[in-house]
Amino acid sequence: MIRSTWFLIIICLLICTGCWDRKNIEDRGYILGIAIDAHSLEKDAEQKPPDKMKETDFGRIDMTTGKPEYDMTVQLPIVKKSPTVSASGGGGEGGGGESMSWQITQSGDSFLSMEREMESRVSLTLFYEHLQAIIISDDIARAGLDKMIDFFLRDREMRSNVGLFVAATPAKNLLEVIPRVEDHSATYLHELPTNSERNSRVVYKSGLGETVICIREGNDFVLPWIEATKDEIKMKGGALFKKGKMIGRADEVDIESINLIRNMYRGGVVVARRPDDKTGLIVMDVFGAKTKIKPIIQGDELKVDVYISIRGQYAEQIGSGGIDDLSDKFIEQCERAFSNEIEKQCNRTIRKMQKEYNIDVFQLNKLLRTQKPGYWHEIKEDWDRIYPDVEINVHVKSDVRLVGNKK
Amino acid sequence: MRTKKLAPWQIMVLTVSGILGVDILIVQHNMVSAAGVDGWISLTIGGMVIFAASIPVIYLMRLYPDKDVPQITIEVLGKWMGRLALIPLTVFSIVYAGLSARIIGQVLKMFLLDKTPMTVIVVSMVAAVIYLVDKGVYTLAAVVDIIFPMYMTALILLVVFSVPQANLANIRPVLFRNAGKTAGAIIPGIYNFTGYGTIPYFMCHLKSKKLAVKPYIIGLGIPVLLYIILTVITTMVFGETTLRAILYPILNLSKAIEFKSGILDRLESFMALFWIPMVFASIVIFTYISVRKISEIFSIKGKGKKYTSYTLLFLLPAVAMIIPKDLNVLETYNNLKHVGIFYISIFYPILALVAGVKKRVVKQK
Repeated sequence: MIRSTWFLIIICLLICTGCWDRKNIEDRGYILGIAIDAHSLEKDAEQKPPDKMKETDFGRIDMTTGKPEYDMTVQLPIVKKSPTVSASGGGGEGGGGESMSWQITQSGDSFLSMEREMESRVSLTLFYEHLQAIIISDDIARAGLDKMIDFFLRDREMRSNVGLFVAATPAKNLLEVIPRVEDHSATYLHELPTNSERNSRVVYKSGLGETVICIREGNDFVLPWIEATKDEIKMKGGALFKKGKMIGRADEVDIESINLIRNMYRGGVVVARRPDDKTGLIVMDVFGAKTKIKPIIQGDELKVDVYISIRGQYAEQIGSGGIDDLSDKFIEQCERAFSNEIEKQCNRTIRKMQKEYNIDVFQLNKLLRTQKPGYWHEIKEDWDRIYPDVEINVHVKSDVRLVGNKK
Repeated sequence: MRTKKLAPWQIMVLTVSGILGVDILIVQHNMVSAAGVDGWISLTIGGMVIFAASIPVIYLMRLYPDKDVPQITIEVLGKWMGRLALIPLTVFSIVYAGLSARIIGQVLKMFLLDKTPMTVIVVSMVAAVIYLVDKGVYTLAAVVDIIFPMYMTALILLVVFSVPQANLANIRPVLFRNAGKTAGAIIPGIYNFTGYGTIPYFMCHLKSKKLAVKPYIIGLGIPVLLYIILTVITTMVFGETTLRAILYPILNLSKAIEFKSGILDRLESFMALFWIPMVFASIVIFTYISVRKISEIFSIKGKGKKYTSYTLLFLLPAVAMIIPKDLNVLETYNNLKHVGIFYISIFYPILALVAGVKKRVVKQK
């Protein structure tokens, strides 16, 4: 008797525990992307008649704590338009240049209140576990990420590998893009950095987790800068952040150099002039790179040696009539040409980061803190003053291992 | 017929499960908050101290192979002194089990069951715990046996999948102008191994006559090694500053791992299946030892022991729910371990000393 009573109590408690949190999958609003802009939805003085109301009119919020500061746009997939649902006869008419997602914009001064306000307009419970990308407008980025990022760290549904991107104002335009291949712009955006294995000109690690670690530790960092047409998004260089605030932009060549110096280069292409014919070009398909940085302290002077070794394939030549003359000597000359090209490119970026922006995007501070802690302890307060004048020498060694399908 | 006695390897499993528990979710945060990037060094030294602290425990078990801690205490210190000495230990184990239930409730509420009231989570867990304790040592050990390989596999997988995200620079420089703090964090390092004293409650139920010292030592080594590895890996993934800010680093670590393809989309849902039983096993062990102590203090025998367990069905949730704020629960839990380990670390050596002297006197007579 006692045994069966116990059994019943435990079963009831276990079942009841689950009931409270039951949520049907079709009742969830899966947020795929978020765009954050500075507030621009001005409240009209007069109340419009219902037939004149637009979607943006619902986005305004009655505040109790001051003025709205942000406009948050979320992207929700319209499930009934999904190709899977259409195929199974569940309705749907997606495709053909028609958006398969709904972008809802809400203004406010805190992200939680904006989210809850949106739920007065959406019949679904908003859910962040499948969030793919957060796009921040440049004016918000310039004001400082540390100011507004707390919600995205504290909320239990957020994940640290959500991609962070920066775009020109209004960032919500990026979510409006109707991609040609993917169903939703946020998933399209999330997949773009995966090509960093083949294209070194995109920012490789730009997740929420890495960014927050940089902000907390006071490291400078770079986030991908994105631009869009109505059906295409491009990662076009990066946004440079110093002390959590955006201070400028890096072009795609800079991003390639930054990836190389920070040992984050995963693969790409190097183009150089032909050693035997300056009008022709040689191309190396790089499939691996390794960088070692060595700080050297001589007296009070800090010098940094950057050793980059790249290996790849002689992939293409342009000019010189397609002569098949890949002798060992020629390959050696090509390797030198590739090395010089990379050194030149890295030196250009280093100069720009040191002199133009005074931004330690190579995270030499972290290197000094871990490798020369005594020295770092003495100079850390003056690092901003010291950094622009630090001598950084780049040494590149190229290794052509394959020559492709012909000699 | 199978004898309802414990095998030596079950001693190892019970030692590991007694030490692990909610601590595994918070140890990394606590150690890095106390000693910065060198938290793992304090933890390593703390682990070594625990091996030394186990010597009087082993000595007592050798002297009284067929008795558990409450019986040994009453035998060595006498009826009244023994019972008096057991009271703080009993309070400690009850509060420890109650607060563990509360912390696991908090974690469950935060990561899985946000709408379920805390009371329901805690009461359901405690009810399952009491049911198991009521069934006796053999059943308890058998259930912990089933749980053990599950959570060990999950923890090893977590470490393996986290390696690609780890950055060696985050754990450097080692001991740079931090020796004082690192030394100061050794004691908090020891707190995490409070469970080392639970094994003398089970050793007397061993099938063989030979004491299972080796399984006990291995059982102590596994959590020490696991805690060190997890502290190192979380420091390497999150860095010192972030680790100070997040309350449950292991859960954040499992959330950060994503599988691009395959049947397992996210690791944390898989992990949840294992860390809940892991904490459950620890609560079961501490509840069992509480019941044993209460039974000996009040000389409860036969069916009375059953009612002692039922009393804890109300007492543990009451302890768990007494503190209203989540953050205060973690603080109280850490303070409790502070007091608990202090008492345990002097209790066992004194008991061993008195037992040794008594034995010698008897021999001389």
